[in-house]
Amino acid sequence: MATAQPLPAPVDAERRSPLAVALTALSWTVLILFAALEIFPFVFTVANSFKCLPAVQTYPRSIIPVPPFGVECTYQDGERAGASRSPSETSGAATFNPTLEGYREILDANLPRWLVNTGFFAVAVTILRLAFDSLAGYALARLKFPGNRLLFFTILGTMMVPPIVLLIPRFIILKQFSMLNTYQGLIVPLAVDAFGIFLMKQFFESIPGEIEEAALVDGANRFVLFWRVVLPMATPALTALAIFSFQGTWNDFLMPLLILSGNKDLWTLPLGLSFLRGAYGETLRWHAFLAGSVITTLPLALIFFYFQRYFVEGISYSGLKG
Amino acid sequence: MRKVHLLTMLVVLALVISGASAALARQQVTITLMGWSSSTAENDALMTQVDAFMAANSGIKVNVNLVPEYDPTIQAAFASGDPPNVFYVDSSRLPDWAEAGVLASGEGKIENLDEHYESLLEAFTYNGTLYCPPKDFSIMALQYNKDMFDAAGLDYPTPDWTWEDLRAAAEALTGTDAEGRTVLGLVTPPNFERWLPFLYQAGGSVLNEDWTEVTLDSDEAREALEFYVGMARDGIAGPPSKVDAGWGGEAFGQRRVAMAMEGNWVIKYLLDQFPDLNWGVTELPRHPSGGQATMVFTVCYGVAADNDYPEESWKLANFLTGPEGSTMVAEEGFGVIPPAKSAAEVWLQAISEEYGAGFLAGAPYAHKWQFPVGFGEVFDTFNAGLQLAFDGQALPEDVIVDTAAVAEEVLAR
Repeated sequence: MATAQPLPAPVDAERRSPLAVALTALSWTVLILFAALEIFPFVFTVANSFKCLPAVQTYPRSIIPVPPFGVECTYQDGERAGASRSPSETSGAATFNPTLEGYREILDANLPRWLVNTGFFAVAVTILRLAFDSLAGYALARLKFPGNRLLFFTILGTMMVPPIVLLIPRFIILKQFSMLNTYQGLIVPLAVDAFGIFLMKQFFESIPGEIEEAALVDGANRFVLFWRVVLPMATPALTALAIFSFQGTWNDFLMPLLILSGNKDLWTLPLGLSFLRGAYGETLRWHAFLAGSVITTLPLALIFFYFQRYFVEGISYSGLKG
Repeated sequence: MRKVHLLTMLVVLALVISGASAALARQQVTITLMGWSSSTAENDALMTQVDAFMAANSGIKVNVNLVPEYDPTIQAAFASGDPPNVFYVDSSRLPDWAEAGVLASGEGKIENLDEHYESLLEAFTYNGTLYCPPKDFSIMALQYNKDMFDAAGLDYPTPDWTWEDLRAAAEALTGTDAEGRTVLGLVTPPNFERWLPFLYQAGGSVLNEDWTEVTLDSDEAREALEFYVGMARDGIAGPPSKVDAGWGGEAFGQRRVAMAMEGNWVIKYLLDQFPDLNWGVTELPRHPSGGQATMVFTVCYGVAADNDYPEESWKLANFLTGPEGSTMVAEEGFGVIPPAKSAAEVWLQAISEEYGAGFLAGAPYAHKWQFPVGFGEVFDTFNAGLQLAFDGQALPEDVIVDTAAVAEEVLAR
């Protein structure tokens, strides 16, 4: 029988000056305030996505749903076709009867297809960028060849060109290659990006050359060295790049608009949502639109939270051990 | 001999086959129609129209391409030299596109001319050339909250209301609601096009008939702007932002204003989003001297100048805007009014006299929303000045003078 070890007596916190306590309290208050400011639009979006259309417009704006969930927005037959039940029936001062009508409407509007398209597009671009950017970045960081620096600065220079300037030329080039209204037309132009190359090159340069020399001595060729030694050490940079490109392509609007507008089956979520908004917005059906926004945001948020772990982990990795 | 005969037959056969296949190929024409998206129901109705057209014209396949963010998309299509065959043209963009040469002339191509309102055809005429047949239109009218009028013991507005009646009613209807929020008599958006009816009612104008001279700086313009701004300065009217709304229709739906001057796009919006609202609509008030005017916002089906199938394109445009085609849309009773006069009557029945009549009544005397290329600058100057005038930081007179000066500059280019 093991004798119960007495727990170490709680270390009496060093006497903290009132000033330090006040500062801590202040910083917490500020942080909480800004967190609330950041989170409120999202809460508001989620709450309103579960309302009937007229209830979205009811003042005061309520954010607390009351059970039962899935209440129908019943349509009254008669003089006003399309009118839902009155706002007073569907919402109180702070609470409202939740409904799935907005989600039903958005699912009917081809949203699943847009979701799949967006996912495919974002994943494809992210994988290609990870592959090409890291290869290019490694070459520029480690391989000695004539024009190395010139090439690097040329690539860097393309970052100075505002993307909007490239839209029309890109459109015309894609048209000449008959790649308009295709997946490849959207993916190929985005498969490599200057920023990613820059990011990877800078990171590879921070890895001590001794590690690579050791691998070379052990008989590794350049590619094995890159694949087995350097790349695993570059997790933080790769994660950052993955997050940037996934988020960027997931939310991208202008490129899909120009390249895919002719084929509705290839549309991405931002395109689809914007389509639902209508030309002037007065036909905007808020509840469905916000339901679509929630569906658009959610996968991105989940992926971000998941990757964030690696992100932090990766940073601790990068310190050389022993 | 026999051999020759056989050969001849083969040759003839080959000719017949190739001829037939050529004819077949000619029948398989695909044209593209590009536009922007409206409500789902309206998009569906357009598809129904197009299906009917394809059923009646078996040789033509129409590829309907409705896009979000129309302007950048169509600009890219123009730039690439491969524009859609038929596309939406807003009357305000007509001068730009006609100047750029992307629009085919509609002279001699457009059918059913006598079916259309003069004011609409005029909106699509530039430098004496009629370019395209109107697709639909919206007209500004006066919406009023019946409950508020009842509570204040006022009679509902009528088409023979004058500015004085409008002002008196706005004054009586201004107050606070049960929650203590300000309620204004009238919402006056800080936009050029919302003020223009007042200018036209007063007998003023922005440009002369053939757009060679700026006529904005006039007593009529001062009177109209002083009236528009005066109500806001007296606290009985104001822009939507004054009552926490993004646009006039929202302010009206939220019961923060008793009257609004929106177009017929507001009908569906109010019925869908504010089913409880008890409202009516009538024509815009007149100038005390009797001058009557409103604005028409309209869109047409333009046919591309750079076009492989002009015949088929015009056929489609004429079908969609003709009595038969537009009646199919009219029956659905959407927010916008179909172009043909007979179809407009059908629309009125579908959307109900109560809500539609006040808008449609303005069609014969409506002014088009269209100015020369580059006038965006003029609108910006005016709108910024108007906002300042609402806040008391500028005089209406100065806004007129400044705007007229910018207009002179733009016209001189």
